[in-house]
Amino acid sequence: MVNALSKLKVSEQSKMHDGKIHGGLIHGGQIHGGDVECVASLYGIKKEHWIDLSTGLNPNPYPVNDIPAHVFSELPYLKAELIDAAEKYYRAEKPLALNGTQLAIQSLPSVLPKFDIIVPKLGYQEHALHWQKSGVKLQKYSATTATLASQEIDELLSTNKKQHLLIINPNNPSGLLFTPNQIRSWAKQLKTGCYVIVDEAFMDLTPQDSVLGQGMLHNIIVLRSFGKFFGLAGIRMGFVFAAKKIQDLLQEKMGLWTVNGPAQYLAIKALKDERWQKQARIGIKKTALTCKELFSPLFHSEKLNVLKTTHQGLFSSYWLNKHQAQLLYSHFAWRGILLRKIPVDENVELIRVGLMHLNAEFANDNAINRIKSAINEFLVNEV
Amino acid sequence: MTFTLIISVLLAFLLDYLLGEAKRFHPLVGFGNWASWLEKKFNVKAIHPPVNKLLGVLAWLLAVLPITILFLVIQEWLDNTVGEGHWLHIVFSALVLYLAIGWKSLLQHAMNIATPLINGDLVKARLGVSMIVSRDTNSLDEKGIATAATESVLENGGDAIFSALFWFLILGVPGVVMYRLSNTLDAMWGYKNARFLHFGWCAARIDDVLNFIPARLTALSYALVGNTRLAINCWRQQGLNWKSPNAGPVMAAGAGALNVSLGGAAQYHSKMQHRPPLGPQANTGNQTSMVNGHSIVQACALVNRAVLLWMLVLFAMSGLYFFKSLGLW
Repeated sequence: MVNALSKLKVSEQSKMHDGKIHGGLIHGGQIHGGDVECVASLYGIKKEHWIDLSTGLNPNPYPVNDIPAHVFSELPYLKAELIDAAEKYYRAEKPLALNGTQLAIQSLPSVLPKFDIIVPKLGYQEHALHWQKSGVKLQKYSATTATLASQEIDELLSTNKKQHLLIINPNNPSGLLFTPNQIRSWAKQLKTGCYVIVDEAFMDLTPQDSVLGQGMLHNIIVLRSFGKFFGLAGIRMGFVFAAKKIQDLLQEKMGLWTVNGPAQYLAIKALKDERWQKQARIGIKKTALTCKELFSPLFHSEKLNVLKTTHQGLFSSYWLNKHQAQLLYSHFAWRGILLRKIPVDENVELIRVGLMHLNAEFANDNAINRIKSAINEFLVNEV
Repeated sequence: MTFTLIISVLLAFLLDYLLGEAKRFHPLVGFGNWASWLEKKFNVKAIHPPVNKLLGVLAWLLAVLPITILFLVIQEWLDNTVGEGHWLHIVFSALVLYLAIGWKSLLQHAMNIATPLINGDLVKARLGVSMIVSRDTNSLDEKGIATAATESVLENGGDAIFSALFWFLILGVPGVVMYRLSNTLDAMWGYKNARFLHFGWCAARIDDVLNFIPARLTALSYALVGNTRLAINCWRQQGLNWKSPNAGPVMAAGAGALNVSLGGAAQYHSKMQHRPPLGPQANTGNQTSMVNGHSIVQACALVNRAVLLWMLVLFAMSGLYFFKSLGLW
């Protein structure tokens, strides 16, 4: 066992430093969440043996059954029913449906006028990556507390109002959350042709905090991910709320039949199912509490110096010094438990812990006990 | 009303403003334990409503009377030994009043919500509001947070400042002690749920009675130092619709004085609850300001102006007494 481990460790290092492995495994030097396929080979642990806490997805997805055959066979023209259901669920008019908000994130830099953009230092890095590729200058604000971030954004805007602004609300992974009024006040300050992009991928648990549905401004673009709250990341579904002009440009980029039939069928059902949504909100709250308590002895122990903690509905983040974060990440990975490690600055990284299945039918070989013993081993052994 | 009483009041408010709430050792914590113990002994399982009410009365008396009498005795003793004008007496009265009011702590709690809300920081604003309301703050939106905080500042301005001051001015140290204890018991026992419906009846009713006049004086002060016409109109039209007979006039007058719409439908635990409107409503053609972080700051300023008004009135009254005692008036 020791030999096997040491061999694997070497291979892990060489792969990690190789940079990009295709298939979205390592992207910009960073593994995305939920990529069990990749880590399985990295650590030599079978795929089905992993406990995946690396995503911010609802672990109890919307039930998928009895999908009628015709939604597979027909050409997937956009159903009016889907737009109606989305309008009702998001409390805003005329969304553009697309196959995942990732597509919008990739396309917006080429769709919007070429201006510099203000982005959060911490947050889903795909935004920054694609804006960088488009060749504009990126200005960054710290994304740990909204009070500090507000001041920095105000300062950046006071020197140049011809910039786009990216807000991830609430921020994944930092939990930073701006008021809708604050976002609108920035949108009003921007010069013509400049937009505020609000990525509300994790807004489903607190819909009342959304900037949608309270008199949208023409230069606010809101991205709503469907897969996270409904736990159906695999069907690739998302919505963009924006001025018609922007929607048309995005649509043109994506072409015809972007959202496939089964995805439309499932999304209509799920968006309309208020009972399931209500139960899911309660369920997520309960699961989050259980997970928080499960990890509490670890993050409250004297062995770890937790600099900051945030608990969101679908994940918890713990800021640690780089060394401790790496130690923790690999300790759990060697035991088949996948966490998410996200760099904050040169010295600090955060460990993001997602939710796990608590239902017996989902739990793979007694996940809770495996996590508990991994925590105990860490507390006893690691220095 | 004597000059020394005024000095005690000024000293107490000065202490409160400089020190804030006593954090390390607040005597009310001890009282809270005492009251909890009494509740455990006296709030027995439902026997018969009148019996439970009677037990509630008994518990209230046992909680409040011994301490009030103790302070009465101390005050009498000070009167007889050092005399009313002695500095020791003044400082003693000021300390008791200081412990009974919560001016600075009210302002601090309010600013802990207002500042992040103005900065757009929902996480901190929500944390701040969770310190003052018992409901699930995660379901409150931006407007809901601002509304809850503004209402709370207006209502607590009455309870935490003017009611205590009123009873101090009327009955001295024992008066303010009795008021503070009674108000604390109302906060602990005055709930309309299965556990407290009958047992807490006495605590709730006595608090209503003790606050009846002070609440109206608070409403009047808000009206005088704010938009007077609107405040009086709202007080008369909306004051009695509220579920609490004293909070209604105070909050309606306060909302009017600030020219801001409060009350109304609110989200409680993902359920909409319909509450009567407070303050001018947008649909009645008034130019009302939207409730937001600045409304909380304005409510604090209103409370501060009302405090100033009370101080000025006290000064004027004590001046009159002073001249009267000299035979000049």
